[in-house]
Amino acid sequence: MQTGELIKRVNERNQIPFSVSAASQEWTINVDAYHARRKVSNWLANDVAMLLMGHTVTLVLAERSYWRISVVLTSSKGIRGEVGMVNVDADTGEMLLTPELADSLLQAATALVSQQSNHELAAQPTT
Amino acid sequence: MNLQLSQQLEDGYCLAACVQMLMAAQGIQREQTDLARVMGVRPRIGAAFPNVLRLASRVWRITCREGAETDLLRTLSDDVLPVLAVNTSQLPYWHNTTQNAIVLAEIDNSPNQNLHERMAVVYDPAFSEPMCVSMGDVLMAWDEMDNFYALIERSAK
Repeated sequence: MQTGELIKRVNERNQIPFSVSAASQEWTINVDAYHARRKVSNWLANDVAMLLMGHTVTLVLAERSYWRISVVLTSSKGIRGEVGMVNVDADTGEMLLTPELADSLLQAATALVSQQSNHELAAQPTT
Repeated sequence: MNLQLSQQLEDGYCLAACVQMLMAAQGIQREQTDLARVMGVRPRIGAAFPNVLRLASRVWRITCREGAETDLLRTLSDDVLPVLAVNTSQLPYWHNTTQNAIVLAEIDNSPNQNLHERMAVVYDPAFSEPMCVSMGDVLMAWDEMDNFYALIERSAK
């Protein structure tokens, strides 16, 4: 089975847990994509900053299986841009956090805000 | 409680605006930028919701925790308006998805009706007017954020 097809089938599944086998390896998926993303969004809101949210979700099948959640900076007008990612163990539901992760997400978000503010200033008509 | 809507100065100031509203309703005017500074708000990024606890003082008793529907009903009956962490994807008056703080100001007084079917008034600092929305939508938006809420109570006069 091709990896793309495998991921498509996994994403279409609603029943958790289930197992995936490929290339003589087997992974157990106990946590679905919705709950993995929600867990990341709640961690962001409660430990980092409220406007950071989990966004796209990809299942990665490596030595272990994990959900890779992209982190985006949001605003009242929509998504400003992606600032990093957080992995969630698809078997246990544990977020794979490092001590520097929160700071690196905040630094990337600050850089994105600064970059967009500069563009907004540059786009303003001069009088 | 005489609540007046404070709009957020910019994205990321929702929590500061909610606190500003509730402090003003209890007789103390604070600048939104000052509240945001104490809570460590970064403009256009925000702060972690529990940072509201940094505002605790001899004057202000601040609570921040996970709760349930019964907690909301109890605090409202005590005339303490809760600040709810919400995901805007569940709120029909929002067109974008973000994480936000709102003040739950009122739930209509229909005790025989299921709470989810009752209407609520929320003060959302991203909007210029209070919003009337079903409690079912509010509870879903709140549930997405693991039902975190904050209380801002004046402990001394």
